[in-house]
Amino acid sequence: MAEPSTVELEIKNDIATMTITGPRRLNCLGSRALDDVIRIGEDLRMNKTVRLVILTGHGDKAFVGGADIAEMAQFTPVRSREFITKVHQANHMFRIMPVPSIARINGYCLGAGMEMAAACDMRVASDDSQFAMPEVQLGLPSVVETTLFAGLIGWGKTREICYRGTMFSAQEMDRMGFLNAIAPKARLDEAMQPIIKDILDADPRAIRMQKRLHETWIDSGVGAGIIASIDMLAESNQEDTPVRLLNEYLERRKKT
Amino acid sequence: MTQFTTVDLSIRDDIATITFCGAARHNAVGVPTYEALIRIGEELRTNARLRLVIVTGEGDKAFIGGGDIADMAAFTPVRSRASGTKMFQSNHVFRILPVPSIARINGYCLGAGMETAAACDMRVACDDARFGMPEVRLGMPSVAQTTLFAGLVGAGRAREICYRGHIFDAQAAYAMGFLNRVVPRDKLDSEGMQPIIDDILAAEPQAIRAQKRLLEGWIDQGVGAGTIASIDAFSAAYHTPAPQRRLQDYLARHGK
Repeated sequence: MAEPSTVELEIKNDIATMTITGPRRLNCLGSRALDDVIRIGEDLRMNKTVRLVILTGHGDKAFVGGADIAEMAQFTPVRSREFITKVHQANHMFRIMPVPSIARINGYCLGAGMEMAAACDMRVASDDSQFAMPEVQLGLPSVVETTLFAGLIGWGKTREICYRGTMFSAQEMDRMGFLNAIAPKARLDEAMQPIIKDILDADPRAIRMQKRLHETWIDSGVGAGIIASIDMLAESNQEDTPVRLLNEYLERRKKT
Repeated sequence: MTQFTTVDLSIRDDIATITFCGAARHNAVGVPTYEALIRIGEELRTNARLRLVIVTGEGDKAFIGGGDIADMAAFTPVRSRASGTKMFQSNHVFRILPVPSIARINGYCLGAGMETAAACDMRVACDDARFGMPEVRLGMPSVAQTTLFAGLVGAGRAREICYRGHIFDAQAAYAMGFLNRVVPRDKLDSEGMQPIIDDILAAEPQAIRAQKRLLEGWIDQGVGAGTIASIDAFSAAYHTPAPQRRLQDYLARHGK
């Protein structure tokens, strides 16, 4: 039996890259990998210099091929509750990290893999990636961060994906709105560059505030979301960065 | 005696087909139609063998061509309230059924027809179907299940449809996200409906029922409560042997 998946972390140039690594099991998420995601997530929460998180899968076959079926085939109700709560907690890490995350989808993106991708801020996929929520074909409903799908692709497509349990191509997912960019596998990193560059060009503190707002906006109604956003705007002006950047912009404009 | 569109129910192989019958009037719906659908809904709710519901219109001109104009032309405030409430209740049937529904859109899908289609889980249309919400042109707002449109097509398109009251084609309806599939009329069943039906029938019936309950809850609850409900549903699935059996079958087939 292949080793359970683990998560490798590399931080370079203020970008944290998390790689789900389970070579002979399509990088599927078992308890060990989920624990790794949670531990790394809690560390990154406290990291003041990281500006972006990239989540990807080891190798070129899979992003995340789902939750570990060998584990799940043995569950009792109590154990299943523990496990799926852990899946949720791991996915949720991407929502509570202080900076945006990009899912770099380099192959199969199935089940818990789609949920984790949906929990990330953005998704870029290789054009040969395949997506599915096969749970109902395995006797289970699709759960936890599946709740985030409709915000990306609408309820009609969410229902179809969940009820059918079959594969959808990267092109179909792109058309539905699940992806931010799609590219041939050899150009996947190149396709991510414009997003990465723009985020790194922006004011880091503003990006962190925007991240908190997007998460708030998912969870609150419009009214509370607007109130939170105005509070955040005022907070952003407690340091002189916005005023300074705005004045620099005005100076540049005067010169042209 | 006033003619009105009736509702036919036929059940075969655990699939219920609901047909709006009034081809001469484009299956226009009125209070007697709503009452018939409400009765059918309460009957189907308790059918433990049911696995899927198909909703369609009699003939080849219309799915549902709108509300009964003669009926509405006699509205008083009180009668419009009663009629609108009953229309809402009849479309709501599709959200309270224990299994998914597919709207098989075989022609005009206007006004109340779009609301019925929106209340179904999925929508498949023939490529010459026509869509629209003409209510504002008749002095009324679009109401009831129109609230579900934005979750399918986004707020911008939902507003455009309702404000313009214009007729648009199946390709436009598909592009905006209202439809899951568009196919030539002669392929409506073989290529439009059958692949979805086959996938749903291949899945575990209780998992499909659990998924249906979750999806309806997720529309009405926030992400937080929706996540909690989904964890409860996941462990509930393990109270039957189905997940273990299907997961172990999967492992056996894939040689793990």
